[in-house]
Amino acid sequence: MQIGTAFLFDRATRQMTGLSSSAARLQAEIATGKRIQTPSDDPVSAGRVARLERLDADDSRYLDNLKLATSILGQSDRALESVETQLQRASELAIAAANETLNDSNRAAIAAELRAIVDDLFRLANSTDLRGAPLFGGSAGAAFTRAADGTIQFVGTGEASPIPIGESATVLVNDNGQRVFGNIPAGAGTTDVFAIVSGLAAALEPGGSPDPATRQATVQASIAGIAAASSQIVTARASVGARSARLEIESERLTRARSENEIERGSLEGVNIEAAITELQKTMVTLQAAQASFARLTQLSVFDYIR
Amino acid sequence: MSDLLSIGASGVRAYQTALSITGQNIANAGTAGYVRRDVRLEELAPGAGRYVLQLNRNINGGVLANGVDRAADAFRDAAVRAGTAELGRTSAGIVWLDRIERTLDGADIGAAMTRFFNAGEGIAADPTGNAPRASFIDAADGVATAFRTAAEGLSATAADLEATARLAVTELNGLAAALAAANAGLSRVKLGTNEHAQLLDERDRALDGLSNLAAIHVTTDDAGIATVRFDDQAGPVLVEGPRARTVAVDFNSSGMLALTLDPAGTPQALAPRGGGLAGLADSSLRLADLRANLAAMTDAFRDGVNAVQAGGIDLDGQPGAPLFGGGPGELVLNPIGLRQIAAARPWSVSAAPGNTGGATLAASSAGSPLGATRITVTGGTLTAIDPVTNSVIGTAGFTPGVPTTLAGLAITVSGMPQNGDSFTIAATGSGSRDNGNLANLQALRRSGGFESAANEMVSVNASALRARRDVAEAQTAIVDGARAARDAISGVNLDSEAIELMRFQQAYQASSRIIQVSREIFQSLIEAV
Repeated sequence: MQIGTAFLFDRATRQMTGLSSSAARLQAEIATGKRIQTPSDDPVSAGRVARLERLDADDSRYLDNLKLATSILGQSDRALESVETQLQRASELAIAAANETLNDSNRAAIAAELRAIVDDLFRLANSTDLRGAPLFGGSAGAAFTRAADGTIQFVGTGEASPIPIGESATVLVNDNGQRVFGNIPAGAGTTDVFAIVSGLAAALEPGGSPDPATRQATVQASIAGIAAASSQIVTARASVGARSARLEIESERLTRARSENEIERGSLEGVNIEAAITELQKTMVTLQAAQASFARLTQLSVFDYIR
Repeated sequence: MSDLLSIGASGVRAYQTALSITGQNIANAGTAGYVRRDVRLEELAPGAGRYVLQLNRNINGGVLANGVDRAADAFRDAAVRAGTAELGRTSAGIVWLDRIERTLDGADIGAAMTRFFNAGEGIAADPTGNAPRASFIDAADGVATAFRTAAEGLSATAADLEATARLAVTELNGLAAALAAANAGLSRVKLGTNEHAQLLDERDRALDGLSNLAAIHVTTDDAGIATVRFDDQAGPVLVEGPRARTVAVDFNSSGMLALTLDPAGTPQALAPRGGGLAGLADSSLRLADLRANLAAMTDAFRDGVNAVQAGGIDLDGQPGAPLFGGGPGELVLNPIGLRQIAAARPWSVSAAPGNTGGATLAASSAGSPLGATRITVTGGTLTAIDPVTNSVIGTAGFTPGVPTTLAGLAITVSGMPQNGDSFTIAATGSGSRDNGNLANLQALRRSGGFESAANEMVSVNASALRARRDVAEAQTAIVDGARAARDAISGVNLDSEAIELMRFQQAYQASSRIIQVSREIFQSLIEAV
């Protein structure tokens, strides 16, 4: 078969261009570490990679939310622990106050300490979280306010919002102050921890309760009230602890999911470096051989022999 | 004697012609569309003389260069043209699919929307913080930019496609005119002449060019005059003899290409099966679909996000302002402040102090409720009370977890309320830390499926591109094979021509020698007398 001279040159150009572009492609794969440079290189894998990237972005966001939620729950736990300690001390003071042998000044000292405990409880109940929001508030406003007469009241409105930690999973990090510190059954109605301790302090203060029997009744009622409040705080703390534990499990799950995603992504779009380098070497050798043989081939011409 | 002289002279003349044809071949070795020519040498047979006075004289004739043979093969030419048309369609498609891929991949709408929705979850974690709100606005700007980049990229692609199609049609008309001119020439020149071969080269160059643009069916008559139809022998005629019809191209409002044959005479819609024009038509259709899809997605996203915003309350206690603006198919971030992102639900429910049950209520508007409503629970009944006048607005039974409409509110009770528990449902004011409205954003994300749709747009195009590339590879091999087969006949090989050159040169020298010998014989005769 005869081969036209122009065709010979054209075909050699096309073949060498093809080899050069294969080499450039392999070089890009090796340099980026990615087998898929554009989605059309492997449409199915590219689609899966896009989905994995989305999952990874979601997981990363939810991990951030989990960290924040864990920190806030930790703050809640510490605040409630302090409340427990304060109530423990209040309970001891109440039991001491029940002793009828105390004199007025002993009782006044106890009352002063109880007042300090109320101040501490008020401060703890009004703690703010990392975000500057009340730890035990509702969805708006402050948690507790103190009136001029010293009474402490829950003023939060609405319910605090849970933090999303998954596509349809949320965790509540702010407990409602009303339910933590208030809603303690007392007779027909309810009372709160501040009223119990303040009431006890008031009864023990000089002139607070002149009738020893009435005072004793108040003290006994307070001991029961403080016990109920303590038990409510312990329950609230246990709930916080349970949520923290859940977050820890969720966080481990997300971290594991992320690394699994990473591995899958690598297997989908990652380039096998050894194979790619070998392939590149092969392509370069072929290209060099093609160039050399083309040069030799085109050097020969019958015209050289016409004298 | 004179016979020997005339034989020598005829050889010199014939081989001069042969040498000039070989020279022509060598000079045109690199000319595109040049078909190798061979000299047609004929013996001048003894017999009837060529002139009246030589009638019945016995002549030893010599040789005559009687014409030029063109080394062409109509079947191989047709195979190359058919392959070129197929490849032309595929390659023209690849160009635009590749542009679309680069545009969509570069804009990466899916990832921008993922960032946006995740930034929403960031606000949900810290509803009053400025940092997550700033990230949200940035992410919203990112989405607007991604949509704009994609829309502008596709629009630029469509404009380029239109310009390319117009150029291609101009080229088609030019080639058809050139072919008609070649046909006209072919009807005038004598067969077997150099001019005839040149015109046939012209004709084939025009046919090759046409087949790159559209699938054509070619028939030729004895003189080589070509009749060209689109597609097959029953297709509409483009060129017949010296007459060429013109093709016009037009684009409708969505950018779809339409070809019309003979717009000035009897217009006829044209949809060639192969060639670059068919590829352009395919691509224009795909591009128009894609742009329509993108515009629909843009509208759905903008309206969805704005509806979520409008359904919530911002940090100033106002209903959320639209986050995005722009006309149909456009997405423009409105200049809204950080506090104007509506994270909170419009109604906040507060449980009264002293509630003994652990139930919670959720409320949404279902009419025109009061600014605040007190709800008390008795048995399985909710009673709505105006907290200002303490008058009962209405009562309704309820099932936990199922919304009940009461006092213009849809109220959902979760958990077990106790008798006497009461709740206040109030319009959300400023500074709320509620994040309930952002759950609606996530609901929009799930129900809208925007990210999947955006990724699918990329995937569908990528699959089409991939398939076309594979097809193009196979078609390129076919065309290369067809070209090689044609070239084996028509191509100029310099080595062969060098050998021909030597052959004809020797023949020329030998013919000159015959003349010399004839002269010497004549001389010796003269001297003998």
